[in-house]
Amino acid sequence: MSASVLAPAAPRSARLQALDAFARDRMAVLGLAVLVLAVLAALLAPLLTPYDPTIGDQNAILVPPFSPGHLLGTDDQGRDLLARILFGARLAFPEAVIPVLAASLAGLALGLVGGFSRTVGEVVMRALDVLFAIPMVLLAIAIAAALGSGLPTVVLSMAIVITPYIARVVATTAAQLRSAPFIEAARCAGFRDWRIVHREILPHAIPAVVVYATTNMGAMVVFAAGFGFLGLGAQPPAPDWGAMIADGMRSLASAPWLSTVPGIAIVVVSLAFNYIGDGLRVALDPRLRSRL
Amino acid sequence: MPPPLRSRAASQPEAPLLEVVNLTVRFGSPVGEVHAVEGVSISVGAGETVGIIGESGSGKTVACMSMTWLLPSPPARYLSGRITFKGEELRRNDEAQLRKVRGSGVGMIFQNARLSFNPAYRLGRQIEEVLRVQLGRSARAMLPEMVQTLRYCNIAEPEAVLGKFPHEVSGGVAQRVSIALALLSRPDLLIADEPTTALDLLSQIEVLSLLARLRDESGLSLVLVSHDLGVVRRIADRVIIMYAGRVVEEGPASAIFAAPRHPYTQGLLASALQQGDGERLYEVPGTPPDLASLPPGCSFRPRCPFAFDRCVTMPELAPAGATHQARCHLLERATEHA
Repeated sequence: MSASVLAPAAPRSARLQALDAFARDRMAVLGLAVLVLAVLAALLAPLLTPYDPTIGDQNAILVPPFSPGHLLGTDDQGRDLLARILFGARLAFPEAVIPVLAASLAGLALGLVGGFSRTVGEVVMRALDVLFAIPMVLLAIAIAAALGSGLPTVVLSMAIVITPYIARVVATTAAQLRSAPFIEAARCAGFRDWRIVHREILPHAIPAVVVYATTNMGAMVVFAAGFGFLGLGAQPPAPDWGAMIADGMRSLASAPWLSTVPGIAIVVVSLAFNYIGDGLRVALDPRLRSRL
Repeated sequence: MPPPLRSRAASQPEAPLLEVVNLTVRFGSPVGEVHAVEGVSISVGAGETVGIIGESGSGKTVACMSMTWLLPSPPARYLSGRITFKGEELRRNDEAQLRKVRGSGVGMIFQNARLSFNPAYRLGRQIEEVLRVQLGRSARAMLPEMVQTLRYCNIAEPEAVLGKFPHEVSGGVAQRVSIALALLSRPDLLIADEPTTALDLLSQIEVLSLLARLRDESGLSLVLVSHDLGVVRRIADRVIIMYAGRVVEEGPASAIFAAPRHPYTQGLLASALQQGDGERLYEVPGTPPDLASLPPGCSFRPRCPFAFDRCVTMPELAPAGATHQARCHLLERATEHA
């Protein structure tokens, strides 16, 4: 954003206030810390573990957790679970983040048009209603089934499924603001519709989308694991967390850690996203912020 | 008692700056069609200050917004109306022309100035943006002029105010900033829609004095919409009284306030507080009509103390003096008896 010659620095900028409010939310900070560590761990996975996540050691099959050399144990093919979790994060994060980012962009565009324009908007919103009417999971599975399994398919189908939800969040904001006095004033000042949408309305829609998207990423971690569990995600021997749970099901009684360890990973990452989303919700809303 | 601020030269307009002819605006609603504005004609001369008075729902705001075809349609339905600005007809579907007129010909200020600024930006940035769009000039080049204009509008510390968010300034300051903003693009006409209604008494006086000074010093034409007679009385050269979407009386401010001819205007004036008046305040009996189901005939008939048999038909706006008009059958009766 360009610095304004007419707006000298105020005592405390809105951005600093938001940062401050976020920093005071302990769970949000904890969530952020966990997430940063998890992302680092995923990036540095080859340095953190000597094992290959897809090649097992025939001499170390079903080693229980906390054994020397295998902190989280091994599976029925002798593959180190810690290595599989770390490398699995390299799948889990893109699966959660990319669809939400794509859906946010598409949702913003559709929602702004849908909420602002009275004619075209009606058509857009009714089309989205059709997508709403179909259960989310079912629709995603149907799309994935039609396109074949694999990571790109999962990402695409999840993006399509989330888009209407984000569009609705944006459209609600846009429709509320459409007749706000300051929009009327902008029209009086001779602003084009396009300028009104992207300069006057967009800034109000973005915080809601950021919060919604962040919280949704947590849900998408679980969602993506569900795909893996059903065998629609990354294919074996890729260390997909959901697929790991499914594999572990067979020996749940004798080696419960096989399903539990990826399960815990999913819960921790998902919660981290949720707490961050909550923190952002408060931090980005001036009214909630001032209550702290 | 503040001095009256009526302009010295009650200018007789040669060709009006803005002319609205026979404007009819309706809105669809679940309970029926709302007749917001019915056959309203308003002309504003160069340098003239026109006050429009009416209760809530009398159509004054709709009429003003329509002066630059500002109401989105739908939901508004423009049934008739022709608007001429500086001799040029404003076409409702000519977006480029309308944007130009809205940007630099006709400025507008609203009842709640703070809400007319985007809460997401500092005031300075919004003013910059407007100027960039309207005048294509950079903010840096405009800064001295901007500060000067804000000073003119009695903003004591312009630089500080420009760095504030709309919710950080008072309503009075916000209104004066919005007037300054309107002035920066040097409009020929300023439409002020209830500019003082949301303000405390002191801020009201400040804003009114500013508007009066503007009119006197800049040659700007002013349309002042208000339901407050005192406000209009202090500034307007000519007054238009609206009731239920129609103009019911129109004339020079002096004539209207001295000798109102329409019973509604008479009621309004009688209900305004008189200094040193110990009697119970008069009020116009009844409530404003439902614009979705107007009674046949004169809209004011159900509340009119003088209603008689002829009032079941809608009276025409008829001359009640050289430059004074009223929409009432009593006028005809007076001439018949004379």
